[in-house]
Amino acid sequence: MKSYLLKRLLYSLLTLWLVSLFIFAIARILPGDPVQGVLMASHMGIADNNLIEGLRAKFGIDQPLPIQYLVWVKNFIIGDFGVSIASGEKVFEMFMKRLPVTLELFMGSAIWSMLIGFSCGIISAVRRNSFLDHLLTVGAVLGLSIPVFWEGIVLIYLLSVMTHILPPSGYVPFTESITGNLLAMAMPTFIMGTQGAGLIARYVRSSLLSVLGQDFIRTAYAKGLSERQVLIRHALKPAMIPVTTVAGLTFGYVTAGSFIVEYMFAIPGLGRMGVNAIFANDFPVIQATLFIVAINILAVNFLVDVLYGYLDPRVKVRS
Amino acid sequence: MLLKVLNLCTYYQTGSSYVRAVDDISFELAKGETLGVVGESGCGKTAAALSLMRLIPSPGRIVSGKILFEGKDITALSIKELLSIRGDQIAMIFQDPMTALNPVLSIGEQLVEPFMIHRRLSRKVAIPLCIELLNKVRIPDAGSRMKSYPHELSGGMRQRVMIAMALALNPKIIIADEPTTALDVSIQAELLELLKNITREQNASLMLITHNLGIVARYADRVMIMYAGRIVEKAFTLNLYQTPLHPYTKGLLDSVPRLNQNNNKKLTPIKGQPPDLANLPQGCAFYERCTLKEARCKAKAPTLKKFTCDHEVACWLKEEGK
Ligand SMILES: Nc1ncnc2c1ncn2[C@@H]1O[C@H](COP(=O)(O)OP(=O)(O)O)[C@@H](O)[C@H]1O
Ligand SMILES: [Mg+2]
Repeated sequence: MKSYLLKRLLYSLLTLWLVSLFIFAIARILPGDPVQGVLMASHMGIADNNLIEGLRAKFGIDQPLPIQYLVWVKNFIIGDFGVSIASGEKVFEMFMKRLPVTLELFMGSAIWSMLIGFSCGIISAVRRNSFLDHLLTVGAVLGLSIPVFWEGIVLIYLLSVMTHILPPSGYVPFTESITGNLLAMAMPTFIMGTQGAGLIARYVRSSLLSVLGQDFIRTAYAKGLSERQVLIRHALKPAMIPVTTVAGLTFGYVTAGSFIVEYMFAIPGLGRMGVNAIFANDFPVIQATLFIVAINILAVNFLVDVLYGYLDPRVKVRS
Repeated sequence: MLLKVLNLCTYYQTGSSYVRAVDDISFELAKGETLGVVGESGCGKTAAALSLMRLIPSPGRIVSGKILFEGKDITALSIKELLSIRGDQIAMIFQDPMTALNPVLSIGEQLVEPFMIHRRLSRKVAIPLCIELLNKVRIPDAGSRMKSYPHELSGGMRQRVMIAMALALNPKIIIADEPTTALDVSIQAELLELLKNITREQNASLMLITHNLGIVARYADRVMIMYAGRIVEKAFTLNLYQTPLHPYTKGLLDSVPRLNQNNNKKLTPIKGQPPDLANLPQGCAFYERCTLKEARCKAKAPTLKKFTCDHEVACWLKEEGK
């Protein structure tokens, strides 16, 4: 088990390094010069060469690219994410302010996807080929294929514009009002959650069906267990093993959705900050956002591997 | 009579046709006796065994017949009554120990279940009982084996666990479906010996399914021979070996080595293949492969008739032998 986890950890770090190179390159390839952008905003575009050179030196973009990369990595490791070109704020502090909001969004959507995905998948498998199963299949495919923004528009129209059940957008901090917070987050988390739920439901169904056909399920019935006991004690755990991997992959998928959802619902989280940074060509922020997202996805997948090893005792031997 | 099976039919529905896996069989099982069930692969032995516990998977179904266990018809029980019999009164040992245990649960977790479900014992009370069981089936180091997972055990050890699990609650009937077929020859005898001894100790009845007549000769009191979903011969073990009546039984006996015969005798397998159970020919199902066939065999299938008081056979040639 230890060597298995160590191996997964090394893989994650290797991936992270490749991702860092990629992100660094992307932030430089984006069209437009960030310093020009700042000057446009503050000096109405009129500037002499001295000012430009001064700014370039200040942000370290006068150095050769490899040096820039090394400096960036070094600073990142010591927690210095640089300074936003657009606002002059420390990127690390900008992050810390928005992190709780995004975390809440993710937790909420994870709860929705698990709740909907698992219950629909289990019902579909247990009542396979029933009318309910077909209905849920259609639902899962819809959840998977409807774009986030379209689902958002429809729900805002139904729940806010027409019936005024939920606020159409905005964010209320948890510390200000708990119900206000939950109401504000209900729709965005649900929309993000349904994306993952469809995928999870499909995988839970097929995985559970294949487990229910195995010999050891017959053994369990022969022992006198009821259908429910067989499901809970014998079928669910092995059925979860392939699903954990999918749940991990879904996370990356959901992250992409969160950029759109935060923008749509005016939620002051990391996604919105990232989108704004891209529009403003604010590359220290872009780099840091992308990198944090990558770290998160890798961390979740590492956790999935840990869970996998915990669920499947055979993993310990295989590695 | 502990168990009385009357005209049991179990079919699998495939498309528009039926696979007659069990086709009108009747037999009895007395308390403490060992009944051998013998037949080639695919003749419906497993289907018959699963029917007794109503474990036939879809698209299979018990179509007709009665299974009287202590006078109660198992085919007519409610789910609740059925669950109280499965694993408690009647237990089953399956053919392949590699797949019959849950790979993600420890041996201990699987062993405590019968105690927890049927006896409502707590895990804590059940664990020492399970260790005792593992000792009984001679698994070394039983205490630490409780924490092992199936993949950490050899096939023979897993089958011992299956035996322990089946015997946990002293069931009245144990159905062992080819319990050693998937195992190494060297450990087959040891396991069968163990199974036989424990069932005798508990005075349980054993239905021992096998395709090996040699095994039956040693362990069974009575034998029934199955062919194409039907019983073709039923007798006390000794009678069956001394005077096999059905041409199929004779063929089976000629195809396995026997201890009490000179070793030079050539083994001759039965020629041909058993018929397709979804598409049975008219007349005797063994007709195509029979060396003694006659015209009347093709016209109508023979039914099981008493030849002597303890010996029944389904063959036209033996009809007049009464
Ligand atoms: N799930 C199933 N669906 C359709 N036919 C089946 C199924 N299981 C078994 N059968 C058929 O039932 C017949 C009896 O099978 P089985 O009872 O397993 O034989 P045995 O145990 O004697 O080898 C075989 O012809 C087999 O093809
Ligand atoms: Mg079989």
